[in-house]
Amino acid sequence: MKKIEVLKLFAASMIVILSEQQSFGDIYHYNNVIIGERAQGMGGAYCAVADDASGVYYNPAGLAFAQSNDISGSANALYSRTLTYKDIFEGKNFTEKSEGTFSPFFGAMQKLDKYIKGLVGGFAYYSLDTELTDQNDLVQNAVVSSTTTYNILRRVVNRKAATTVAAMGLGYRISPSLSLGVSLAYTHSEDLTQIYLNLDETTSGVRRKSTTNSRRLLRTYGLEPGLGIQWAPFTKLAFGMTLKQGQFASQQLEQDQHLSVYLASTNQYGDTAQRSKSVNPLGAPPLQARFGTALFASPDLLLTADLSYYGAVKNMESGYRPEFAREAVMNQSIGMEYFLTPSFPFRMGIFTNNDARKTVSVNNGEKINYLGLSTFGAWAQPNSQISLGTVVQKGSGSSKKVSEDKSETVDGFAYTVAFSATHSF
Amino acid sequence: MDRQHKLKVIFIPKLIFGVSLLLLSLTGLILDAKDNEESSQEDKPVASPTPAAEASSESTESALEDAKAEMEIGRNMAGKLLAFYGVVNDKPLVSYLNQVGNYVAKAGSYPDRKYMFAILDSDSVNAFACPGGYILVTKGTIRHAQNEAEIAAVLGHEAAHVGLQHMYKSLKSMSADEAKKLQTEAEGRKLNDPYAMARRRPTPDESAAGGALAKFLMSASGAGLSVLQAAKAGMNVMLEKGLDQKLEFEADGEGVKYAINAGYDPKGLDKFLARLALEKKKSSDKTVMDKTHPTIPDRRKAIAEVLNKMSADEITGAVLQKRFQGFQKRIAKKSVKKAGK
Repeated sequence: MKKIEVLKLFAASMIVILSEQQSFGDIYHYNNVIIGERAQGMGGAYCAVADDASGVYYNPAGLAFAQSNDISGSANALYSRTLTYKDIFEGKNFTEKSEGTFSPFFGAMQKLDKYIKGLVGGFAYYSLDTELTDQNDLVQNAVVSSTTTYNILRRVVNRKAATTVAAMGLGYRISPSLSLGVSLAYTHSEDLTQIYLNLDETTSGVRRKSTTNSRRLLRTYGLEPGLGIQWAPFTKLAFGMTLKQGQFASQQLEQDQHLSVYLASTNQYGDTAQRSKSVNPLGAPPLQARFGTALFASPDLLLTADLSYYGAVKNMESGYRPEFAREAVMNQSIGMEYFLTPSFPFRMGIFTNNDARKTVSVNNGEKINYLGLSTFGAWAQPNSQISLGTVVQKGSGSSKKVSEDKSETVDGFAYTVAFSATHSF
Repeated sequence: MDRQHKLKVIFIPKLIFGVSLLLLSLTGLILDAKDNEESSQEDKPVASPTPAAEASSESTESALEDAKAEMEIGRNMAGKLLAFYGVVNDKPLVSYLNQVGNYVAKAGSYPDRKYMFAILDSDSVNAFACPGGYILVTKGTIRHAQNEAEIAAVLGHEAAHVGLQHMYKSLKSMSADEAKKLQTEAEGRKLNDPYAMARRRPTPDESAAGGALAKFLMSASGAGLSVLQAAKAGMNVMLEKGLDQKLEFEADGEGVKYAINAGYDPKGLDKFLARLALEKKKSSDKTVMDKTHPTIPDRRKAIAEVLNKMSADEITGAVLQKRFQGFQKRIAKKSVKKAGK
């Protein structure tokens, strides 16, 4: 087989279809998993409250208003996300489904008055993003464009991605109405994708068969310091603000691909293997700023609202991969906690989970802005509480699933069933 | 991903974490229930007042329930006080206190009641009478007294509170809303932090769910506070709000009478309070006793009236200074040891 033809085919296959579009642990959404028992129920609108262990994440200054020493844990028992690409094969939709691996939150908080009056320390271990895909597709006789038909497309995608964080924070009341907090988080993300793709296609009358076997691993380690402040101008009204700027200690993208191509018309065969390593594919983590307000209307009713800003990630350093470019996004959330009885609080939140993709290409998945609703019920005892509820996200956007030339609408739907427990001592 | 691998990667960690969470929540609920177990009938309501309980045979059952509830509330309160202050474990000293206390109480209006005396590890001057006969005296009270007549009068005061069921009757007549209000006020005073108060969530009642079931199972009437609620409210009364001042004056008067009946110096309580007033002049700190009792001059005035009515000047009672001071030294030694540590 002539080398030039193989390379052409290779180039063609590289932009093909359903193969390379993996979003690397969904680095483009910042609200996929909402953590914390109360915060989760309130759609993550918690910056001006944050007086439990999840304050380490939302606002370490909130720790200073802790009412008791707590230990709490939660798990998203079920997580599922379905993406439906519309009209991808001449009127036919294509669906991808992924599950979450378990995304736990575990936190503890301790008043440290005996060392410094007004000081509270917290620790939390949590997962900010998690995904497990076991996709097995068989597409037959699908007309992709006027010139291309997939006779048989067989694709198997296995993917495991998670971002986990271990963080600690300190909150200190510098006056009855004002507190400051600091936090330091160790972040680790790992995204392993393995794809097997077998394609039998006819393009402009030429039939070719190709097999692609690829593996990609993105791994990052980093530290994320944070600063928080909470101020209550009135006893029942509080404001909060948090600033975080992380830094990767290391980030690495490994890619392996083996491609075999067979041209049936000329009975030619060729194959090629590639291995590459990028050292700084993601650039620096975005600046995060969160602003929140809380109205402690009565012991029975709490209303909250947050605005969270994530800065743009620019192509500033060598090794940066353009498909990871992210623009600045703003998410909003509002939350409510209402005690139906002293033992049965009900929590609800509405939030956005906007997509930070700068552009949509076959290399970086789909751009979907989600709107989420969380509803949780809890059973409280004097020192303990258990909660159960769901977080649902729905959105619509666009993708380039098949080629750079064709854009299609994509609908996303995700749900989480979560269970959590807190004990005060 | 094959099924076996998927099982390992997804389900096993989920299972482990889920089970851990379940254990955590159950542990929490069990720990919550621990308090309730102590009182054994957490949501059993305090029986409604039955004025003729003691006399009427048909109300014998109700009186028994009443007595049981009183004991449970008192035991719960005493447990909380002992946990809060700590206890002085000195057998001879505790035995001596019980001897004197029971001797005075037997000379009182309720000789058939049982009284249990213990010493709290606190240097402040105070004593607590919990329903059911649990009487706790601080180490500071014993140090402050100069003779047995004085401590006997203090114990008489507390025994009168128990015998007259001052605390128990107050709690019996208290509604759940009043108890809750008391709790909120007490927490507010304790925290002295309006910002933290604004963040407080409702205090869940054990009776809200499990209690409702317990009540159903136990076929209880549902009137009044649960034992646990009553004990909580009792603690707030004892440490923050105090009993009605009239009841304190009544206990002073009765305590003096019990001490006199037991053969002690009639002026024991008055002398004890007079010296306490002098000490208080040196310090501006407000103690629990200041918050929960009438002022010392008012108390002394009321005691003087009782003594007058009894023509106490004509009574010569025992002081027993030497015997008392022997035991008092043990307290002093304990304090020195503690300070040395």
